Amino acid sequence: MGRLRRESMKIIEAIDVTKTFGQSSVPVDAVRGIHLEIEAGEMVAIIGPSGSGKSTLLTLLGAIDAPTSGQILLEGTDVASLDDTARTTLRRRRIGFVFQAFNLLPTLTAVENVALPLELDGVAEKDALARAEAALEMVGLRPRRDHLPSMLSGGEQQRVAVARALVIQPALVLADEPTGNLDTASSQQVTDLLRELVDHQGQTVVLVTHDIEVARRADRIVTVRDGQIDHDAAPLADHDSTHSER
Amino acid sequence: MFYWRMAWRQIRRFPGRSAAMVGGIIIGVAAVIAVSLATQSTDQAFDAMFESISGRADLEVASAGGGSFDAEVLERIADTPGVQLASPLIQRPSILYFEDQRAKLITLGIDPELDQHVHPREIVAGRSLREDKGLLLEASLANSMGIEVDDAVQLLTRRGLIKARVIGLYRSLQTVATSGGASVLMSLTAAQYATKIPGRVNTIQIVVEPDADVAQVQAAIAAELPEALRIAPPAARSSLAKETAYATQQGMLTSRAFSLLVAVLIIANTFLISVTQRRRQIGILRAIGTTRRQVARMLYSEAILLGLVGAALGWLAGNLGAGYLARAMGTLFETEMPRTQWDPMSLLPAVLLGVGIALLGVWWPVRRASRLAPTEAMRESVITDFRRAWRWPTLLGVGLIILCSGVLSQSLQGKLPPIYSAWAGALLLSGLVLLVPLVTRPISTALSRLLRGVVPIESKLALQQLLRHHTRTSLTIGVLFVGLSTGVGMASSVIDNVADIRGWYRKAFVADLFLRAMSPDMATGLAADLPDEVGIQLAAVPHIRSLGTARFVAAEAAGQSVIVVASDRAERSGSLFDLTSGDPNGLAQRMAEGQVVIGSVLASRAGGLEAGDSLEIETEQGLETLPIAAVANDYMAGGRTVYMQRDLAERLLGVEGVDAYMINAQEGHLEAVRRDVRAIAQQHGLLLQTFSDIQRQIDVMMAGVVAGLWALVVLGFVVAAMGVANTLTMNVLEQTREIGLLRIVGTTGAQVRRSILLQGLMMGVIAFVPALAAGVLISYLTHLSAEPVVGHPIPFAIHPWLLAGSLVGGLVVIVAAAWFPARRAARLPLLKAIRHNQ
Ligand SMILES: Nc1ncnc2c1ncn2[C@@H]1O[C@H](COP(=O)(O)OP(=O)(O)O)[C@@H](O)[C@H]1O
Ligand SMILES: [Mg+2]
Repeated sequence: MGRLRRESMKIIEAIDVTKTFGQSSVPVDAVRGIHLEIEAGEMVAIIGPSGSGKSTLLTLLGAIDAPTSGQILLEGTDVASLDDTARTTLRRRRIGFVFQAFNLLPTLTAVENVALPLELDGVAEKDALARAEAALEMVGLRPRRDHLPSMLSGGEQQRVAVARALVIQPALVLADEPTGNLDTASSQQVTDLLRELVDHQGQTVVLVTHDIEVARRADRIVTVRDGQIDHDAAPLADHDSTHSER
Repeated sequence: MFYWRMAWRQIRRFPGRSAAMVGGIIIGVAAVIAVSLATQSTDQAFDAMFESISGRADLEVASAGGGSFDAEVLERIADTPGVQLASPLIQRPSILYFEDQRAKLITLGIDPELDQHVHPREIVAGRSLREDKGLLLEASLANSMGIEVDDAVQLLTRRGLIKARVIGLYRSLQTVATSGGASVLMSLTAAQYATKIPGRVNTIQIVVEPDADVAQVQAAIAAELPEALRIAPPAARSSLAKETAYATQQGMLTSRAFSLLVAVLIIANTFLISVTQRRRQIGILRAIGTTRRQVARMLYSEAILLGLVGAALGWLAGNLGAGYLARAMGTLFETEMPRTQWDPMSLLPAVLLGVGIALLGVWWPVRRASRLAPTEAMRESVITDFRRAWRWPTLLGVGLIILCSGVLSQSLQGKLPPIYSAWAGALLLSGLVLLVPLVTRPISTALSRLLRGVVPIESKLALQQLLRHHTRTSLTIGVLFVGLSTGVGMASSVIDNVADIRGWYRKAFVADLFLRAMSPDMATGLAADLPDEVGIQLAAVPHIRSLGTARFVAAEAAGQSVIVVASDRAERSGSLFDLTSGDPNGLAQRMAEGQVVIGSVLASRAGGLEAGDSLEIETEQGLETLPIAAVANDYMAGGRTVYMQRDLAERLLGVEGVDAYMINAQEGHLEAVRRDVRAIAQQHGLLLQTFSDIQRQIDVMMAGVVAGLWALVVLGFVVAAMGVANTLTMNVLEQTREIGLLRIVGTTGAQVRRSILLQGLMMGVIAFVPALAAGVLISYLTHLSAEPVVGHPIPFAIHPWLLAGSLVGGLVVIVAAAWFPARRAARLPLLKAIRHNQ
């Protein structure tokens, strides 16, 4: 397997992380004391029932939100200690996101959407577009570079979103149900794409999914229940026989 | 560059939304530009008029009564140390006839040698007055009338129509040529002959040595002058005219304040809707690493771009509107206004203003948007409103209301200038708008309960949708509220003012026939001389029951510039004045005894004079004190008028000549009298008018301004409609999916349509009830703040029909505005609806 070819190196580490919503009368403990380590070149799937805290965990790992308590160390930096601007800059440079749907700005073309994080970071327009085009090439959508999102299918939109996540060469790609809105064929395509990134480029990917078929393609499956980790293991060999041979 | 690109894409992709923003900016910018330019050009017109007379003069000597005086002082003045030259001048309004045309102008009698140093002029055709005898005509006027050198024209004077030859055309090298200051030049002696004042002049224009101190020279000359003469810088004299325009200008400034408020509200509402719609996108931007500051920059860039577009269009609209307004004011003051200049320099302030309005309007929405948490990107639920921020808008609203009420009351008591009350009024409304969110929920819930019996499902759906977008709903209600209350307030003020003016002239102009050369210039109050022969001819007409005369002269009274109306109407009585103070009975008797009636504006400017007080007036014999018999509403010369008996005016002010005759015929002989008088009028080229002619003339004069004010009312409704259409369209777009679901579970298209219409109507009802009350309040405040300007309280009335009409009209407009969004919702294809993204 890809990850075995690499020295094991921690990309991100969550230490006793909790997240509580609602300061007032009925606080919701979305994440309750989670410990989690993710290593470079790993593809981790997070599964669990609806409302169990998967998305919340992902926002904490991705420095979108700060934990109520505990530490998140992203490449050694404690995310919780950063202010909003510093966290934002960290996301811009080190983390690629893919959401369930409507990932793209409807006013920008595919290539402009991909170039967006670079331009936000001050990369010159020409360089940004060139790099964006290369990223689109990687997801096989270079011919659609000048299309607006409304002219792309759902699967294509998700692949553009993956290209946008990749263009910054992130430490970590986080995806929240990236195939949740897709038909089976498109879903397969997007999953293949993520798998390839891990295998051929040593990318680290954490994805939340409801789809057990998608989860089985990961190197590791983390099951979350009531804001806590219930299970953390490699996919069962008998379900995974075809894939493990790769 | 990056931010501009992002902003431009957004604008191009959502043209409708952008157009609504631009519309708001246009309203604001156009109102400010139009009013400023129109005000400026009226001021300029008055300045130019006086400049064409005073020219380069540093000082001007005139008689206290405004009449003519003996020219013998000229030499003494010229010899005063520091005086470079003193040039005598005769000036009279007059009428020039050429073929079948007539033109109002000012006749100037000059000493050609001396005058060239005061009024540098270029002879563009023909000869100068030094070379020949005759008339010199302003070139632009001559061109427009088709007069050429050596043509013979006729000029109306006290000696009757005199024939004269045009010896040359001139162009002023100093003043911008305006038809407002059109004049005809003749030699001093010719003018003295025509106006029957041999050896006398109207003013002496003084140019001071370049190194002399003007104030010192003024003092030195003042010491030399006989008591009846005054010396002052000439500029002071244009203030009378400017003050006349003051009331109208105040009205326009008030509407400008409200337009700005409305503009900012529309922009805030539209942009709030826009960013609410883009919540998820903004969330994504934040998630992929856009800082708050960067989000704000993107949104501000959008506002700036829209501001630029709106400013450019608003500048165009404003310049067009200014032309219209200036023409309307020109008609009102019977003065030709200079064409409003397309001032390219005004584009810069317009741009700053447009961008300013845009930034102000988007400030709050941007603040909200840039503080969106990046987790918004992951929300699965249908987009809802921003969380409500209760505290500070409420506090700000209450603060504004308290502050503005304070300013208003100070301003109404005259402790602050009246313009403060316009701004305070506008800001007070904003304060009320900020409090709208407090009542949105309780009132719409109550309304929905009321309607439950009639349309149970629809009222529930409508309520849900309104409350889901609480801020948007509240802002739309705010726009409706401001639009309607301003509209109703203005309309009701217009109605009251027009009623007031009508009441005045019904009383002021009572005679069967009026004979005059021209209607007195509303700005200067002066009119052309009538030939003396006319009086003699009229006296010979049989069956005249009474023959009155009137003469208008400028004077100084109670420290104010006034117009004295000298009259010897045989039957003057209380019923001829619209009295605000004093007893109408026996008024004629008291006036015959030397008492005066003064205009209400003068009365209030002079510190609240009333019947029984006395008026100090500057006369040829020095300051005289006259008892005041009564105070009357008067719109002539801005209400700064003094009515006195003719013989008194002759004695005090040296009044001579007649401006107008008022003729009453004996019972049953009106036709005969009219025929005879018409013959006299035709012989001398005069105007003969009946009472209804005059009435019509005044109505025409007011029409432009009244139409402008009604346009504002309509604008109020249009703005309201824009707000509603905008909000409901957005609601429908966002509701697409839900509407699809409702339809699938069996809600009919008609029910869906009714629920959308109901949303509009509910917002309308919430806004309109308080708006009508606020409208009445605005109108009341306008009346109060107009009082120091108009000089008398304008009778305030509540107009139930106007209120009912506005309410019904407003609701109709809302239903019309809601119609398209509602139809769209009802006709949504079901499958498309449930697949709808966002
Ligand atoms: N912003 C929020 N405010 C309040 N509660 C929240 C918020 N986000 C998530 N929650 C709550 O936290 C819990 C976990 O949510 P989430 O992480 O979205 O679950 P999952 O992604 O596993 O479906 C749920 O009960 C949800 O209602
Ligand atoms: Mg989730």
